[in-house]
Amino acid sequence: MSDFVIEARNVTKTYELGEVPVHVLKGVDVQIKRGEFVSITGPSGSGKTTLLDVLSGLLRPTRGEILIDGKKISEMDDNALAHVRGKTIGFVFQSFHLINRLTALENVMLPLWFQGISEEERREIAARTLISVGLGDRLHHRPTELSGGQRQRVAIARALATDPDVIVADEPTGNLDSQSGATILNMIDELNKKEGKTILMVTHERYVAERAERIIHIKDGLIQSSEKVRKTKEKAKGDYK
Amino acid sequence: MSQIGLEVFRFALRNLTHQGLRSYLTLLGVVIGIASIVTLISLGAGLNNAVVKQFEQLGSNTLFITVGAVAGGNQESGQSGTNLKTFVDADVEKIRNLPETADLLAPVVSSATVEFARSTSKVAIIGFDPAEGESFADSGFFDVQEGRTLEKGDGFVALIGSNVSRELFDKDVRLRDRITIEGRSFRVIGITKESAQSFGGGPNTNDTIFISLKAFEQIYSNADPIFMLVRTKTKDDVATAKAKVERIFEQRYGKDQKEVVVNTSEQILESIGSVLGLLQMFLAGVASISLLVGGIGIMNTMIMAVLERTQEIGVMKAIGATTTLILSLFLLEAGLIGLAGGVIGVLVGYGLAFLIGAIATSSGLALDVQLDFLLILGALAFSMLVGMISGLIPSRNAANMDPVVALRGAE
Ligand SMILES: Nc1ncnc2c1ncn2[C@@H]1O[C@H](COP(=O)(O)OP(=O)(O)OP(=O)(O)O)[C@@H](O)[C@H]1O
Ligand SMILES: [Mg+2]
Repeated sequence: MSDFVIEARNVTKTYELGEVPVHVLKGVDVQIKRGEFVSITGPSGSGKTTLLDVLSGLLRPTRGEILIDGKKISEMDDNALAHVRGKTIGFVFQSFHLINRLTALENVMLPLWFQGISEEERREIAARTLISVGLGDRLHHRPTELSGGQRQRVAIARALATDPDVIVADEPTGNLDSQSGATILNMIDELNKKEGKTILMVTHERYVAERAERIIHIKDGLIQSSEKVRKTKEKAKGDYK
Repeated sequence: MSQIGLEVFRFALRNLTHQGLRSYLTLLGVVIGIASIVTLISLGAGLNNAVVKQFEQLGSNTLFITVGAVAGGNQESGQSGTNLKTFVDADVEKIRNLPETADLLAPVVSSATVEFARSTSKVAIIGFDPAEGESFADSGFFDVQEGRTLEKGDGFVALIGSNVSRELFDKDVRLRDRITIEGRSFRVIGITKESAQSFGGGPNTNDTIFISLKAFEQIYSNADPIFMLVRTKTKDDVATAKAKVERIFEQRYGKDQKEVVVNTSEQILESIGSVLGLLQMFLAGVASISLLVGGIGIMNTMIMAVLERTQEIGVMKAIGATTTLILSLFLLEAGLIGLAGGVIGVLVGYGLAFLIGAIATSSGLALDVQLDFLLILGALAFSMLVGMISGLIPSRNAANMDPVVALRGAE
């Protein structure tokens, strides 16, 4: 197995908007080690989300290569890539992206279905995961009956259900009040520290980014810096207000 | 794998029920289309059954010989006052003496004034030789409800049709009653079963009085047949007999004669079949137009569904749903809309077919509509197929959706 769970080699992403090509990523190299907690920050429009999408196999790069678990995604067809994505990566989005007509339990069961797991097992795993994020009493609620923080916890449970190596989160606290945001961040932190999950998190806020071990700073589609976070005890506890 | 298939089915069903009223309205086109298909096929089959049954009674070794109705009377027999041509005795004898001929029935037909219970009515009179009639007893023409049919040696006795018995006169005509035909008294010895048989394209047997040829000749000096039934010895003789009979009439009326038409049971079945076929083709046209409309409706519903569920499709693809799964989910959902329309369509179609069948039967056309499970199964499968074909483009759009675009579009 490769040292890196995810690796980007000289990746560019260009959108053709009419005649004008928009170069969103202009050649980036990223290496994410197993068990690492990495933040991606940068100004709005700098390409953070695009980089995250490319790294997680949601988006194919225009040029360059992405390797997930050491395997080149350019050599996978869409079905194979979907399968690898579902198995290796759990997604947490800024606006939750839960399916409103399904209950919390059913939302969490969904990725397990795509992995071909039996219904009985799915139900059990989903319930267990929801309990672990503190929603044991909300299994049969629909997303519209839950608060923002609760919804994001359902989303985290959904991301965790298939027991992926990597959790990818794009502004996971962006739509939350500071209280709920802190809960979610602590949860993500714990997943990294206690369960050894690799975390890739996009945020434009410095103090959120600093929860990670390493911060990748991106600007105009180019990586400006990749710095280790020097953590003091207080910092680890979080000065998230 | 089959378990996954079942769950795809359940998920699609759930999506469908979530669509609510819109998908129910969409059903209408499919319902009309499938209903017309089911109605047309089961009515066609019912009619076909009835016709085939009627001709099967006559047997496949039967020739039907008719002489055309032409203005001006018959140049040979010299009979005037009627527009019907008749057969010449010599020809009838030639046919009777053909080696292929087993039985021949040459009924004579006229219209007479009939009196009963001080009321009078014009009735079709058919005269035939009871000895000849005997060999056609199984034809169903003279099936008797009450009394008996004509027998050898019968004089002035009559076998009357069921309508003649019940409807033509002030009082019902009963067995052993006396009726007056053209001034002569006849005793009623039998009443026929109510059947929808038409005697060689002539009057319906229900409205006819049968008397013996001898009695007929007493009333009408010239009793020449206009219609003949010939039964050949074997089924294989039919073609030869037909050719020989045609030659006899060519000799009399010329090479290109059109007066006499010789048909076999098969030919008659075929021509009825082709008329039925035309009717069915017309109904099939109606069905395909409504199915097309229904299909467009389903396509529209599915396009809306895909648009509405863009973010859902994006999420599902992001968290590991394959293109194939999304495609089958939406295809199945479209197929289920079609199927639902098909189920209602089959119910409506059979309801209509049974209704029309009952009306037709009560008005004399035996129409025997029956449930055909192959048809039901076929109609359901077809309706599902129509749904899936209509859902193909929207489903492919859903399946090929770029997850990132889908998710961003929903933000
Ligand atoms: N599908 C697309 N077509 C064209 N341009 C796009 C597309 N997606 C993104 N872009 C452009 O790429 C650039 C980077 O977008 P991206 O969403 O990655 O930025 P971001 O750093 O996540 O910004 P934010 O902090 O506001 O979320 C933007 O200028 C955006 O307009
Ligand atoms: Mg972004």
